[in-house]
Amino acid sequence: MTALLSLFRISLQSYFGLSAMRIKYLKKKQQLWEPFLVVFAVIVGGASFGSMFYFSALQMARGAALLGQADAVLTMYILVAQMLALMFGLFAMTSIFYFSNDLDILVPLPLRAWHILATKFSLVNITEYAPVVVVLVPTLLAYHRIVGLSLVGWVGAFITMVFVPIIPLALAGILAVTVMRGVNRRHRDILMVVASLVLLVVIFYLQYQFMSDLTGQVDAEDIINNRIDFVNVVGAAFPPAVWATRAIAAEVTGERLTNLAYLFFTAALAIGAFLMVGQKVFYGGLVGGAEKVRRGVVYTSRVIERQAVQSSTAKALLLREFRLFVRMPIWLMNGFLTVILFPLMAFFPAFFGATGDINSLTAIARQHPQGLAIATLIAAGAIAMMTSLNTLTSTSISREGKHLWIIKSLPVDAKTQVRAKLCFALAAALLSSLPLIAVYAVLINPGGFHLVIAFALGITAGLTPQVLGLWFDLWRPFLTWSNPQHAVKNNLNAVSPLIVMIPLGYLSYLGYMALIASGTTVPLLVLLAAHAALAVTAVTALLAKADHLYARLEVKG
Amino acid sequence: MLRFQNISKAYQKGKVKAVDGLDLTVNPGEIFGFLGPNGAGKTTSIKMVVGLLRQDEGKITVNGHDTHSEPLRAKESIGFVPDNPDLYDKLTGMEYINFIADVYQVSSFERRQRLERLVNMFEISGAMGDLIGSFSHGMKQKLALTAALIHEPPLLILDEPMVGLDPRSAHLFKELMNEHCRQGRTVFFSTHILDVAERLCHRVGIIKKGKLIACGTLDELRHQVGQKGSLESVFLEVTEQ
Repeated sequence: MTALLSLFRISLQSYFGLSAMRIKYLKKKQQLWEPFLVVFAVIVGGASFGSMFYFSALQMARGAALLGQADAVLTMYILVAQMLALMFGLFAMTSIFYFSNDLDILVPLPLRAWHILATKFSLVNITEYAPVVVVLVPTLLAYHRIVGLSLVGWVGAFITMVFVPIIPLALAGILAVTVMRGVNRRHRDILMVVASLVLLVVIFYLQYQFMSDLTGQVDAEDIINNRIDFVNVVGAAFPPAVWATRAIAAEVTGERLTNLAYLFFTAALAIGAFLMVGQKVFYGGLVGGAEKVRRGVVYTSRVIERQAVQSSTAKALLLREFRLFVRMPIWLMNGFLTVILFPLMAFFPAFFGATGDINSLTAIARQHPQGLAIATLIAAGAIAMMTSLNTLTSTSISREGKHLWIIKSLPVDAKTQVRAKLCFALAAALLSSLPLIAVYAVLINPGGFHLVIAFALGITAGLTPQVLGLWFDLWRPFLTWSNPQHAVKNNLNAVSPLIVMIPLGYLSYLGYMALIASGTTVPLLVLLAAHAALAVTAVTALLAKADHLYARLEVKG
Repeated sequence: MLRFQNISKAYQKGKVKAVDGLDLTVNPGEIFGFLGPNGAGKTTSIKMVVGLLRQDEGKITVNGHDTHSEPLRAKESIGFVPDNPDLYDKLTGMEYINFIADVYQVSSFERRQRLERLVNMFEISGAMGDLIGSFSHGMKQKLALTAALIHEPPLLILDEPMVGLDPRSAHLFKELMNEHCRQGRTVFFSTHILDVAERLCHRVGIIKKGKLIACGTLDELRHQVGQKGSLESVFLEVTEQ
């Protein structure tokens, strides 16, 4: 037990950089403004997402309260938080179990596999409280505003939040260790990406099927006569969400405690199952990954002659960016998760039966005078949001990590390096927006003009946040990460484009509303021109500052 | 070829002086050994030359180019291998070499000729197609040396180059350093292996607490401390003073 506690304490210090922060801010008193900036960014980012959840939960709670079903809103958002924990947890678990640079130190120590698994599980669990808080605190506030939550209810809510991510994370952990044990080591990286993609599609499909079944089961008469309990219906697929709801909102304290006990024992059971499976397969998967794979090609004169071919510096830099990003499955999946999620969210309703909804959506878009313009704005907004979330530029310098010395010591000016990073991000944005544009074309069929505008507006509107994300990462890179997931997920720079995107999106909306009287085409073209001008200004300003920002980066240690 | 002029670098807002008024000139065609105890300022000095750190004071010139005002021209003259060659795990050896050669604009013809010689010399021809992540420490070191030599730099800067090399590779590498210098090029390297420095270097500099405390040929250093022993005894004498 002492070993486990000691391991947990040291891992906590290392993973969150507590020792480094203590020395930097408390002992040396260096860059004391940084914590304030971090707190500010957390508040802005948290408030942006939080307000989204608050207003949507408030709307739903108002409607549900009329039917006496406000508790179902809690169930719904608890499920959302658990779904997020499952999706992000899968990548986080795989990264921390199999790609951490501390494994070489830990594995030779006389520790049991479950010691390492339990410690690393705890670290991921701690990080997953951030999305849980962002989803559930605004939901609870909205629920409190409509229904009113007693002091005991709030206490129950905070205890419940502790348990919310544990069960999905344990499931993610079991999946991660099983997939890593199962995949062939030669093609491990690509198989990991494929397995994750398949899993995401399955999760979405099941969720969609569940929602379809749900709407099919519920009868309007039952709702009006209050003969149906929405909490049980919504939570039928995942009972812990029902227990969590009851632990917060039950009228009787005894019922609250009973449901908390259910949650506690289920979480303990899930962790136990994860540790049991992990104990059996973790080291096997780890050893499989550590074994060297040799292609056996000997570089004879002939092979060298074929492969040693000169190309331009710009192409070399671009190719390097591309290879390093796509060959790290964790980065690829983090960066392109949204590329998959947004089209999937639109894809399933379109192709799995909800044709009535889609037809009515198309009809609204076509019949309303502003319908197509608004649909185009939504599609452009989705593309801009997707590129702002992909972390390509905002973690670009951070991802260099211990390899920063290479680009710093090369005779390539900072502008060329920045251009390569932006070109890569732009190419990725262009490619990744194609599925969304395709879905937009299939669902709404808006015609060539609106498709082009949606595409161009989305790309240009997404470019400014990406440029500022790279600027921020150049200014304050996170280079001391311990695993690839750490570099993007625990990196506050990753959300910097989003912090820019949200006010930009709001300003675009205001701009559109101000120009709405001039018809449907003019506002879209004005927005496109404005975003293009902004993006060009941002790129020019960053290039002008690039030398200074690169010079500031020092490779110490 | 390489000149430090009154170079200083401090950490922690000037509280810790890593390099303190370093004045040193390394001549073309010379193998120069940079010696000193742990934490003396060797790596900091090297990092300032290659652009990984900025000096607080003074001027460094490489091949006549100021590293501060003409960093790219200075870097074009340098081939650098750090003490711990962290290379891109997800690139193959060949992809890495091609990347470095492209950045230095080495023609296809030249890179083929040099690469063939280097991969055979370091016996890494069977590993060039593999991901660097699968390389041993020694192989990474050899690949980093290959990359540093692919553009035949006038100045080769090496931070503890012998660490991780097997005896055969270390021997070959010493031969390569000699050959590099015979062609009028320069090698500046830090090491703790005094035997290597004694046998290989034309001159050595000894740094302690950021200050250059001795510099010259072995005979000059012996004369300076007034004894006829090996470089090791000279080093101990100088650093204990």
